[in-house]
Amino acid sequence: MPKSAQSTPFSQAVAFFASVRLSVTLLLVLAATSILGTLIPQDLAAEAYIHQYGQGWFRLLRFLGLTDMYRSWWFQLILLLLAVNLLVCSLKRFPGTWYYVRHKPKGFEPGRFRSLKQHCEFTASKPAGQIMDAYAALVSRRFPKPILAQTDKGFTLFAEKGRASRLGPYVVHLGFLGILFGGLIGSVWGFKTHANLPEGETLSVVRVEGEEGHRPLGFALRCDDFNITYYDQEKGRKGRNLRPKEYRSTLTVLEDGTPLFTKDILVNTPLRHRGVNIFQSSYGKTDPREVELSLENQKTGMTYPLTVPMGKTTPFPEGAGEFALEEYRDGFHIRGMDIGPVFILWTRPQGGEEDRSILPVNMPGFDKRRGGAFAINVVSYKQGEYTGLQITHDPGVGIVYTGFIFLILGCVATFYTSHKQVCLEAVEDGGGTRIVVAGRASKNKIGFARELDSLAKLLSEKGNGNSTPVCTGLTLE
Amino acid sequence: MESSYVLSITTFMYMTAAVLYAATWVFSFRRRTVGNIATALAVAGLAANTLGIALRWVESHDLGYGHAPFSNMYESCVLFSWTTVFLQLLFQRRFRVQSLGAVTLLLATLSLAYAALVTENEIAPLVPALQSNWLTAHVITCFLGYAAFAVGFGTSGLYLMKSAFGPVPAGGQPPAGGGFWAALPDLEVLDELTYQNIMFGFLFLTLGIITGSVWANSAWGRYWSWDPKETWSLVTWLVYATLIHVRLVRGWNGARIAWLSVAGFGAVLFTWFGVNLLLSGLHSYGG
Ligand code: HEM
Repeated sequence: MPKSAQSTPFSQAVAFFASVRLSVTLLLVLAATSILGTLIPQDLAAEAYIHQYGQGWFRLLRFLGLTDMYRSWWFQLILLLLAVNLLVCSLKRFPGTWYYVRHKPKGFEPGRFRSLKQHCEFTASKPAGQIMDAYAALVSRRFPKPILAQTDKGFTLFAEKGRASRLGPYVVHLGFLGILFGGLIGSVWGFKTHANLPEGETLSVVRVEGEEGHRPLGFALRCDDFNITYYDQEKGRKGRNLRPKEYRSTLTVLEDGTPLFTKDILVNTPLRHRGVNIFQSSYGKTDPREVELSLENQKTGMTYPLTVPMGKTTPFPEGAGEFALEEYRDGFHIRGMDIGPVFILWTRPQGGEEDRSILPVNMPGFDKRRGGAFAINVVSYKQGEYTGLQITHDPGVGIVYTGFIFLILGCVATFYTSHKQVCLEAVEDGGGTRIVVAGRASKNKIGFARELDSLAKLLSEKGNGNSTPVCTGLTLE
Repeated sequence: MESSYVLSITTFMYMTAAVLYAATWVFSFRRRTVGNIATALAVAGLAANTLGIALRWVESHDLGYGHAPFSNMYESCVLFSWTTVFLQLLFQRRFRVQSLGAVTLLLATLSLAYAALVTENEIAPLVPALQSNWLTAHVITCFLGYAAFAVGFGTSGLYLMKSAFGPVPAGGQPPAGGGFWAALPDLEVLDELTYQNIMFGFLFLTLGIITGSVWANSAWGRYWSWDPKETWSLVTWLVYATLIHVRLVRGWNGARIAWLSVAGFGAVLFTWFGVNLLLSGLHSYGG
């Protein structure tokens, strides 16, 4: 057989990208590789991988992109191929389908229906001429506008409905493409970041990973208040393992320095302004700014109260050198024991070497062991709270959501609407008329078999049929 | 009455129904009495199951933090047995497939037994992330999908059994008379039933993934983050999407489709249990 279409590289490429074999392969490859990313933990620090797999394996995993797989070039390539596959296939087939849907045939060939598996037979006692119009009316109740044709020994009827159901897959595929496209837009023009905002402070720019400098939000955001409530509080239960009920941040949006509005955000209730979304995501305590200390001369017992700012070098009394509180840590372990919050203390005695040690908040007298001229005790300090905010901007969400709707509607159309065709052939035979009703449906074959059965029963009754019709094809009895 | 008590009664009703369904099938009773008793028990069990879910809802309100009972493993098992039996009964009304009840009621029984024996059944208050109406929509759609896949697993299992060990139909006609194999629908019908279930399940899994995604976007500002549970639900979706394509476009049916359906249900089970048990993730049930 000579090839009708010339096989150019272009047509070969189109054929390759339009094939369902490719899409099935890609769907399975996507499934298999996605699994890989759930077995290998993603996006951890290098040390975590080295700890788990060892140096060599870690290098291999990183080389293959398996430590940040879903963003690796080859995973993105699979998604791209899938999109191209879908697009090429749809563009290639859509015109044909559209033509098929829009152009119902004017006539039909009964011969094509004779070989259908799903058919029912019975004999009507009335002659064909008498039942013809009644049958056409009956069929038209379920299948609109049947085509009636007279033959030498009887007549034929053809009817169909639901051609548009063939468009279902295109709607599904469009929806899926929309989701991929929206995702792409979001990853190119959107951003996601996290910011800790202490109570009373204001934020107007954010840092985005992989970007230099700061990105302006276009407005300012002030945290007025942050609160946690616990379930067990109401019952008077105390302890460490309280179960959180609500994280609530009161935020005020300001533009050009004037407050626009104030809103409380909760975990499932974000704030949205100018295309930027702000989500409640975590919380914590800010480091203290100032610490109230008491310094005791180890020889004379003389004590000095002193309030020092964090990180600032401060002279000891009596010219005994200088010190600074370098850092605050929420918890600290010594030989496996948790000693609670500590300050990291930097000291330099007069004429001595500088040194670092810890200053536990809850262990007064601990600093005596340092052996300095003065022992330091922490009297008090204040910590503010900060709210941890997830800040996102995603111009692709609208497209993704539209894709979702298409996907759902397309699935309903593809699965639950069907292109159905029925054909009835009546041939006069002796005194009566032999009737064959045959049909086919593009979906739900069992449901259609029933429809055909019941149609045949009705027709048989109308034509004073001999008995119940004999049906072949799918049956449940 | 306590919900856990009602649910343990439910378990026994389902178990008895499963045994009776199996008995009508194995012994091929002429009369339909036993099968009808099995169905009646399944209906009563479904009512008890409903009551159990409702009571648990009420109990959570009595504890002062009322929420729909769809928030942990225990509750998802209870919901799964409900949706599976519901679909079985719906199916039985439309098609004569009592024998299928032996498989589906067994799955429902196992799910409730697992819930009672293995999972934590304390009614816990919802952590902030779970306090959303999307939770209910998400869990119900997912589990309607899972249940349909479970019923589809049943029909494809029956298909594989019957096609491997059943009598070979002579000249396209199945052998006359009753018997073990005759109690099952024709192969062609089983094949079609599998596909019907898979379409239904696929639609609801799609809805489940979408509601979950919309929810994640309203709670955390990202609709997809490749966490293991999400990823496995996508894998499940892809397996069934493959099945739908090879059937619609390449005309596969019969044993090959049945095997794909079995594989798909394996993916469902892994998404539901395996991810929680074997993979370290941070999906919502954890908090
Ligand atoms: C996961 C994303 C999907 C991809 C990559 C994909 C890909 C494809 C491709 C390449 C074809 C062949 C071209 C064509 O016949 O038009 C096809 C056909 C088809 N797909 Fe999909 N598909 C996807 C999702 C779906 C879903 C979710 C459904 C179910 C509702 C579906 C239903 C169909 C149907 C019914 C056909 C046959 C169309 C026909 O005969 O005209 N597809 N798909």
